[in-house]
Amino acid sequence: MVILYLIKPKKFNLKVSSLLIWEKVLREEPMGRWFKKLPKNILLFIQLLIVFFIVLALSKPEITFSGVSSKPLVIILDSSGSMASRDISPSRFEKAKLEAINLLNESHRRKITYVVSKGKPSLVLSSNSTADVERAIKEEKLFYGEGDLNATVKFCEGLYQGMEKEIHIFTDGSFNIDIPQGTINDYHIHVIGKSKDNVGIIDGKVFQKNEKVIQVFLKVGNFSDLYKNFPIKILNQNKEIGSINIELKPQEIKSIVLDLPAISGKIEALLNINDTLLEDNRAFFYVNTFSPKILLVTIGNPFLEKALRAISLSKVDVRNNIFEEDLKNYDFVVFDQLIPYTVPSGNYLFIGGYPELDRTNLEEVRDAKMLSWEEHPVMRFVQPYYVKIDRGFIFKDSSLKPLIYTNKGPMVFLYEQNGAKGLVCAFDLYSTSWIYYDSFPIFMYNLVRYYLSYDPQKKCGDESINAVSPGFYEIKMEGKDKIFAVNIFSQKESDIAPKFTFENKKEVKKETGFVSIELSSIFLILALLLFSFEAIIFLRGWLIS
Amino acid sequence: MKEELDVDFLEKLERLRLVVKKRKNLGYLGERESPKMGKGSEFSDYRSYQVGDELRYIDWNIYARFEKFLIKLFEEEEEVDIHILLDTSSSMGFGSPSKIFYGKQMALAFAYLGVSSWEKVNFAYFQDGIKEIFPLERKKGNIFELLKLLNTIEPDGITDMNNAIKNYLASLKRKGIIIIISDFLSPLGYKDGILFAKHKKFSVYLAHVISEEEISPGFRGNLCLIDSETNEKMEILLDDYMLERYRKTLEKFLDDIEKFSLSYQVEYMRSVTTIPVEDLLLKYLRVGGWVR
Repeated sequence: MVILYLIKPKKFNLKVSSLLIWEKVLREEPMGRWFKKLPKNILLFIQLLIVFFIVLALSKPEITFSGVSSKPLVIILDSSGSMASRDISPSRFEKAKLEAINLLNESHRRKITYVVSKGKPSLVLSSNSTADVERAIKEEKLFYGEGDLNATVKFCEGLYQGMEKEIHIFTDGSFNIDIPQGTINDYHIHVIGKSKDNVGIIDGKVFQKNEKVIQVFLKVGNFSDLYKNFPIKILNQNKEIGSINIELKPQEIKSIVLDLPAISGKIEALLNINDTLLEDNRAFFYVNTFSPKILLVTIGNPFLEKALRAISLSKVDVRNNIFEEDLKNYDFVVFDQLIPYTVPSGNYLFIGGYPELDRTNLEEVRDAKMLSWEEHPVMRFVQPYYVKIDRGFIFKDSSLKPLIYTNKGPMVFLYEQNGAKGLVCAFDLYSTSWIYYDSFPIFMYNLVRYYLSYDPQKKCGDESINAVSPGFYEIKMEGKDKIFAVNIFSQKESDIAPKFTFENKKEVKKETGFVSIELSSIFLILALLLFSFEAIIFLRGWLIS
Repeated sequence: MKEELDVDFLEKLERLRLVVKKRKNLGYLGERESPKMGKGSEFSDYRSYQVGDELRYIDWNIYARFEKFLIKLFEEEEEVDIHILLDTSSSMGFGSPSKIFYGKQMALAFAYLGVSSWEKVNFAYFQDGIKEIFPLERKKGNIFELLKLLNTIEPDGITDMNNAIKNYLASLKRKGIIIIISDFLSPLGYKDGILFAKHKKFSVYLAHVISEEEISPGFRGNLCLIDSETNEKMEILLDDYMLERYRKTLEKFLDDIEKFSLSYQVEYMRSVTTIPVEDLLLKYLRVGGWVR
């Protein structure tokens, strides 16, 4: 470029009295004139062409004639739970990563896409750099959940639309892969691992049988070809609280139920056996103690208070004002007629109104009867057919979602505003006969239970708590610490025997040579030729005068 | 070669006198109908007697011959101040001879004519503003002082005629004649300054100096033109087509000055530096009615 600059035609500097007239000349100059000037400045054209060719040369263009190696390379790495099996040292997953890297280093492909098969396909990287893809493969961590290789294959079919691809799948073959019919792509399936020696817990649950007994349900499978006899231990807070021996025939799946004294907290079931996949030999459970702190703000309602106190292990405080109370100290707050203007985030039941109610936007109704309700956990075992409401209101607020309908319109609503959630009753409880029915305390129990309880059992891959491997997770949610128990619980992953049938596999073509012409040097030569041509013009003085 | 003024050509101007001496400072058409009855002695015209006219101005000889009352009109001989403003910006340094040398000669000539006619003459030179004022009064001896001053002036700086003229006239209370010698290459224009002078009831004389090189540039090719005042650069491919366009633009520029002068009753004279100043004064200006 320096040379180009040096041979640029020098402009002759000329001092004039003023540019006033010259500026006017150029201002009035029609545009077409510029184009008339262009053909004369051949040096400019040549310089532009030189730059163009240099840029082309630097972009390393090439023409590649059809050949296997010219196709884009797609690497699919199976990252499901079964890949943690240690029948191959250090594990199937690590071995698969190693083989994928070896393939990368041998192929020298330009377009490489690296996809990991988890619960759903995850495109990690699409790059021209082998080093970048290799780094990404090395950094990959095992996903212990249930994989879906077929979804990943389908996803990869859509990559590089219309182009023929070479797709390499690195898997333990623990389930069949359906290669799409009529695919234009070449599939290469690398099966890692052959052993099927595994016993695992494929499902489990802990139930509260009664106040004194809990039941631990486990489903255990033997996926090997051998008889297995081993003890199952139950641990609570790392202390053994029960044990049972189990005998399993080859390929047998057995369910067992253990009655244990009522306990809460972390419970772990452990198969005392040494097999190739250790991760499914443990099952984790968390039994949450439900002891809600409830605040009832009322001028007096014994029916309501009784219904709340009937909730097992609940602690109910009753106030007739809330000025001194910190609502955040309670898990659930019931406002009976005394409705505050605003509430912080939390769980509430508002009776007779709700915060920020627009009193001009309601209609008073009399002699209403409950007729129907939405399918909702709060209405479980509750059937308030023909419950009378002497006097109530219809709230014309689209932000409220109706829950219970009367013949006059919806009168119980689901409420959710600025982190505060719960229900709104558009009538005074004394105006209704509902409080005399059995369904009322059940409704209150359901309501508190629904808003305060959570399901602590999760499976690997659950995105809500980012569960990546089995175990206990302590997570802060909505300002409270919650404990979750995460398990693999997948028969598909525990059954580690390769089931891949090679009939499905498309015939793998052998690597054939390919012709690839590098165009960089051609463009460089062209640039050089033009440069010489320009130098001749310049030196011969064929310049515009 | 350094261009210096000498006193030789001043002798040639001895017999010239600025016509302005005899012309009235009539600014507007409305006043032309009733010229002032002068207090001077020089007869101007007759007009019919009207009630209220002084009887002593009635030409009794005419009455004796034709029995008509005619009033004799006389031109008033006024004392006028002559102000000579010379543009000494960088652009004036161009041409052969240079525009500034030519302008200096003109300024000296006008000053000499003024002083010779016993008029009060002031000389000033300007660039973007007035740089120096030299009052010659009515002393002929000051001409030599002016000559010395002119020889020290070098072209420099940028032109702002509007500002220079306004600044100069702002402090003047008496009306008079203002002679502006310039190449009119003032990027910020010149019209406002001249209109301001007209507004202050000055008789304005514009002496436009232009060099032969500006009329027909003698260069061609790929050029980078540099403005002598601002050092601004402009790249241009100068060929016959562009030269033709330049000539047309210059012509338009000169026409514009002429039209402006005509519409505002401003005396305008343009001269190429190749015409000797002596010839300009003795031939062209006399024909043009500037001097007699």
